[in-house]
Amino acid sequence: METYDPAKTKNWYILGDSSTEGVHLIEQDVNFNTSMGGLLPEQSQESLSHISHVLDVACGPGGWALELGQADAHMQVTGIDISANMIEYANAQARASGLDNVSFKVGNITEPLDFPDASFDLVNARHIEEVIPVTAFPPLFQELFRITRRGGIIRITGSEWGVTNSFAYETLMRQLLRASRIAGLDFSADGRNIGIAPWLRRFLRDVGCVNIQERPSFLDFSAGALQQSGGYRDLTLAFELMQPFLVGVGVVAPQEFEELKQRLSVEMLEDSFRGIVYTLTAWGQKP
Amino acid sequence: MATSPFAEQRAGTTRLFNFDLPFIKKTDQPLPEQADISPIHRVLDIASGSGEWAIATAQAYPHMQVVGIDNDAAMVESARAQAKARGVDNVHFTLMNPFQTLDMPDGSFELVNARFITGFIPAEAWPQVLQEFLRVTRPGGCIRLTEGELPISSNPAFANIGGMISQALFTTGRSFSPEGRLLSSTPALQRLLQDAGCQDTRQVVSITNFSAGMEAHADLSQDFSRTYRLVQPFLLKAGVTTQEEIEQLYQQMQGEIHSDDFGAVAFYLTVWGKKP
Repeated sequence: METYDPAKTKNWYILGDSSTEGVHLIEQDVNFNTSMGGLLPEQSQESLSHISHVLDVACGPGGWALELGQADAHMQVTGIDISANMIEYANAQARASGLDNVSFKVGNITEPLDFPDASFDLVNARHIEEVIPVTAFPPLFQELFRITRRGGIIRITGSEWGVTNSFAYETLMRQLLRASRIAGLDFSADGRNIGIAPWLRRFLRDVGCVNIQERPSFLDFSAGALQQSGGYRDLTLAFELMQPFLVGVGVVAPQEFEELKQRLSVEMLEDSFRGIVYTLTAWGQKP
Repeated sequence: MATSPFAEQRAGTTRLFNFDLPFIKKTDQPLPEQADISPIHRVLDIASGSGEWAIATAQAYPHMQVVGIDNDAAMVESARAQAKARGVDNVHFTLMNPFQTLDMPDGSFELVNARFITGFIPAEAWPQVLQEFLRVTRPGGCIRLTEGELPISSNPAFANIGGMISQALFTTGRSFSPEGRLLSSTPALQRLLQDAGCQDTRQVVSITNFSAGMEAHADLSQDFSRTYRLVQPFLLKAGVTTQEEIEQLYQQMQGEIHSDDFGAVAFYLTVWGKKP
């Protein structure tokens, strides 16, 4: 069985970085891009007209960066991720789609970034609360600020995952939150929420961003809702992949995890299933 | 029976959350998601409490007649006084239990509004309560529900009292959670409206950031200081804390919400649907 050992791998992917996780992240990108209403839905036309060089950090298999490059040929989009598997996949996708304005390279966002000062008009970080420890956020934001040009935008999106009426889902969420605390990935003050939402604005403010704004979005994966099937695939896969992490840090026994996972796939397909994921995007300008 | 978690303090229909009020205060828009408010003339506000929402709505939309109902006589009096003091005469407050049979004819309103009522009634009472809301709504009119989840905070005492409330509402059958982590009210709303017979249901999400330094901080931190004090007997009765523990946490919370590093964001969902 795979184990979770960031000290050895320098990789905080709690779901591993297998091709299955690649598939999961592609699914997640599609779901979030849809529920948020686009790739940069909060940016005005005026703001977009000044954006050509874009960096997506912890880009995973590249879903967001590829879509942006495809949607807008004048954008030069770069993605970095710690996982060589993810980067290989993303570059293959860029080649297969004939996109020469999108490129990917391996990079560790818990270390200084390999880009000159003021390289980008927009730097984007999505769902990085799942992949780097809390203590890595302040130095990362210093780096993001450094590589953004004056007047450029730093944009961060964090998700509070789901709130549901499924016993299995809620129980697995509590286990995930307990495990995150043990692994140092935890923003939560009480183990009930991921807890990233109040931090986004603060990270931007603390490095000196101005004109900070926030925009919430939600993804309804209830029975009968538009994103039910996407949410079902994304979340059952996420919890499947989470097994080594949850079992590895010792918050649940393998047998109990197996039972909860099976109960989850039953409950999420019941007609009475209700679930919403809340997400917050914050962005600010480098003065 | 409609007794709120605050009933024992005779605090009437004090609601747990008022996440929408800072936005309304700032923008003067109590119904921001409604594309066309011109057909809305008669509005019913459920559990109108101190009357803030009803008064703001009457003030923002002078063509409307707004009725607030509440089962606490003192609250009704204070809401009336507030409306009078602000010179708003298209709002009226009536003493009536908003969660039982309403003493009103069928089809009386174009809009029935219920905000942050989780906690006032058992989860299983919602379908019946919504039927009654629907009865007093005119065909083509609309029921509008707004609920929030627990505020997400970076400060432990404030977050932990929220967690206790969640646990107590679960224990007393007042939340939609299967085990008490969060309230799970927000994902329940759309289906509740559909099951009641509403059509064209829609949902919109909002947030209020009331961290230190934010515009909403003053109003909501004052609101939480009050509600999280009033809710303590309910928490004790539900057995989720001890007197000593809650007093200590409340003290700590007071320090947190007035400190420079107080961080809190609340997501809330507004869901509305038409009566066919």
